[in-house]
Amino acid sequence: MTEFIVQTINGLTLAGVIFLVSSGFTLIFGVMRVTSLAHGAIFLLGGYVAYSVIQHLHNFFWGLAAGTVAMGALGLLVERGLLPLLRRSEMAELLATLGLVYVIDDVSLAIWGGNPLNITLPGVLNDSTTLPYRGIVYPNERFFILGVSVAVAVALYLLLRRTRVGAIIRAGVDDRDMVSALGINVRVVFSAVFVLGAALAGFAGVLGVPIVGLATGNDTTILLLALAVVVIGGLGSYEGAILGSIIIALADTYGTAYFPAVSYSVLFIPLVVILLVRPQGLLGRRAAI
Amino acid sequence: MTAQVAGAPGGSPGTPPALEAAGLSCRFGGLLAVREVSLRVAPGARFGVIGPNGAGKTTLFNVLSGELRPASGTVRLHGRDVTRLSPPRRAALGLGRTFQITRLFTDLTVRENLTLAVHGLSRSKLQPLRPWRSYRKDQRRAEDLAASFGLGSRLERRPRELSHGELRELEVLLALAAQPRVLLLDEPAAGLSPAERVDIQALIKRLDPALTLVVIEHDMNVLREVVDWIAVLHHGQLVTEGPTAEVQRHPAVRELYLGTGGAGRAAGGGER
Amino acid sequence: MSGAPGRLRAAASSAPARRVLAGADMAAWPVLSLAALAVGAYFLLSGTYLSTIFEDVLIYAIAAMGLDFLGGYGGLVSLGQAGFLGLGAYGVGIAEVHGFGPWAAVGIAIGVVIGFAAVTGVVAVRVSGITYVIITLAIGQILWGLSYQWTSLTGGDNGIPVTTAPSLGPLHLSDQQTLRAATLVVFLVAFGLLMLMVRSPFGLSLRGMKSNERRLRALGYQTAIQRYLGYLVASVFAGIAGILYVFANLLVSPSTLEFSQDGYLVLMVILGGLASIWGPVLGAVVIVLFQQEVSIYLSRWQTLMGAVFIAAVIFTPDGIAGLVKAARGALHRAATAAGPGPAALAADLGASPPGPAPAPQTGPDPDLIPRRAGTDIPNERPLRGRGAP
Repeated sequence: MTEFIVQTINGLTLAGVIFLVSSGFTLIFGVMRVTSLAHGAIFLLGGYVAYSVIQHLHNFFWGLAAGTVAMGALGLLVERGLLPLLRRSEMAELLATLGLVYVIDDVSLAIWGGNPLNITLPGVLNDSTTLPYRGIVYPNERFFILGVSVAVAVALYLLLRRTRVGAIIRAGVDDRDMVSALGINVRVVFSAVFVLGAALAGFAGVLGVPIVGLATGNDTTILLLALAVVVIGGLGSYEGAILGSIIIALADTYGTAYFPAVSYSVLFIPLVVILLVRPQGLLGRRAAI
Repeated sequence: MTAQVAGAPGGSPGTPPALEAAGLSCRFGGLLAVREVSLRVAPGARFGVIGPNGAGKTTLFNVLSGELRPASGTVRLHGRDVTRLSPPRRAALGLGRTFQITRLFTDLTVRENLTLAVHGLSRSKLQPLRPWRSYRKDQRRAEDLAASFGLGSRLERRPRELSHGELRELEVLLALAAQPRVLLLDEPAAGLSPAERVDIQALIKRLDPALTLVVIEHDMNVLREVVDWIAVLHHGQLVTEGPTAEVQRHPAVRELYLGTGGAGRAAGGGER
Repeated sequence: MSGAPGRLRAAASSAPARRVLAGADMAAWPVLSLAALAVGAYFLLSGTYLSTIFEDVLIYAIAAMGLDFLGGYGGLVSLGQAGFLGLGAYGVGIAEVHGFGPWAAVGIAIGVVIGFAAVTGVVAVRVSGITYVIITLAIGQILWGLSYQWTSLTGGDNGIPVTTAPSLGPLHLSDQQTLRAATLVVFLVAFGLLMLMVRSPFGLSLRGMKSNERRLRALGYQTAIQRYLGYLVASVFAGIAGILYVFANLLVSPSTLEFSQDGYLVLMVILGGLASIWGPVLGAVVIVLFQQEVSIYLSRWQTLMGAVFIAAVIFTPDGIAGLVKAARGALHRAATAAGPGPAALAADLGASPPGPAPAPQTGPDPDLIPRRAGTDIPNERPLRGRGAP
């Protein structure tokens, strides 16, 4: 039972990281109908950038900021520089992001090499706490990651639900042409959403290092998890990303703990089941086509 | 008078209506686009549905053809309940339809468009090895169909090279190629010039009398030439129905049309 | 762009020149195809370093052709084909480890591929478009996960070495030369099958599905069945490629199925040209050359390949096959300079030329050109690749 609780908390912390990546992905898809297959690579690159910054400045939070900002800037570059060349064709955009994956991966390999790297969190976050419940000893860094993820999720939720900007974004998910017809500068909204999505992925890439590590190949894993999340939750649905992240992360964690021989594959069972029963995802409002 | 009056000319007693809708209601985008609509169309009838834009005509067609599920009510095709059936299954039972916005296979030639339509209800459509050009009988049928409606010389062209009138004709030909027993024509004259409208009217009038036709239009001038019976839809409800001449003179109908600027034209007309 | 066609037009204005050019155009495809085949076969069987490259090209081309049939003609792009390739390879490997002879192993591998495709196809057909890409990616990754984690069955990261190749009478496929010849034969069969399928009613229905699925359904087509069958075809092509792969490489490991491999196959089809018969082969040539040759001179070859791919998606959505068609178009127009207007010419180019030629799809790939939402009538967009002024 103790084991189960530990695994559950593990799963939830993983859910936090996955959620950060997925929320950006689902917003980008919802508003711009762009499938950013490069999101896993952005996640990885964010971690790498932070690693280098931390090597020089010996400060985790500077690293976190650098990873986030750098990926936001990359997002801006892609959205302004690459996407306009693709004439808003969804399949072309998806394919272009696929090409981008090879570029980012190879450049990262060149700069940081293929071996796993590590980022340690500062001070007390490095320790563990003994929980009052059954004397479970649990690493602080995971609480930190979980806490930060939840905080960001709440902040994003408030942004989307309580601010004008958020209303515009949600309207964009619903009906992009209408938003444009209302005189709102859709170009700025698109750029902002893409930058936000990329920054979130970069942020997650740094934050998630203690959990998923920092090595080539992670980008594919994270991309797959994020894709599974958004398909389950519903493409374009923010709340769906939350729900999907929890389901996928728990499936992954329990799978690794209890069915290691097939854990990676078992992970996709919720995906398959949901697609059979409800192709638009749990909280998706229209067909996810 | 809001009558859910069932009725349509022709048909012998004992034969089920070719197409029957009973109490159809359908939600579309959050509002009730079709409310409690009931229709009965006898075999061989020329049945028209008219109403201003937004009256729910296309939504009604979408429910009749199976693309939308009704919230309540049933659809019967030659007496058989098809309410739960998908569009391909209804097509197999003899239901054909055209679309208001031309839906053709734009990257394929006219011949290929017609070939797809001709093979639609035969087992050969899944044949993976024999060239479709070698199905001589089917190719001849496609050629004859095209020729009899003036598109014989356009067989190797792509839709982007056809005039708008020819596109609307091809739209009807595709539906005809599948040899339907009941044909739903969704605003066949949409976007056509007056001259082209005459052509499409002529095409419709030349259709097999045994074929049951249901035609949507919002232009009364077009409709009265081709149908004997008209049902009037407004805000998703059946306002009235009856023989063409009567409906034209009906006060509620005149109000709908005269009130929005010009007899026989509804707001947001088709030329746009 | 008006310079070259203008000069060509002037040069070709005489009737004899026009006839020659038209004749050349007609004969071009069959002649070029045979020539390319002869050259390829020569190098394949030459026993030199180039042989392995051509062998790889043929193997990947088979998988890419299956992907092109489903994705290019049918509009359902699958990012999971490497998974089926790996499944074919692992099928042989695992069967042999368990004591089955090589022919039995081949049979088992094909059976496993068909079985897995039959099951996963049920899920895959429920979706299309972007979601389809995602779900096929997931299916491919499920296979990768199994190959990597189910160590008792697959040997994990080490993979499975395959030692025994089948024999057909006096022909022993354990001899690399014989295997290459066999690979060529299988490739030709696959190529022929693809040609037949594209021109069949089933192939036409896939093209119709990509073009306007809603209309196709209204005409009586159960599109779910078509998607399912197309998925099976693509999977079997990939599985067969996998079987050839494992006999050529004598080893299969998880790296055969990783995501980058899925990507390579899609890159091949896009670079070569979606919805063309030669496209996947041309694409395979390019990508394999990148992997084998460019990698020798440039350690960052993947970056270059990614950049080339992005450029292709932007500038030549019809791939190499599209460029070739455009060149033919320019030649044709020059040869018939005084002919009817561009629209009619475009239609003529659309008609299938005799002989083994790419399937009739001129003009931009509709999937890579934006559609205005809500209209199905083609927009007034310039026809690409026509050398338009």
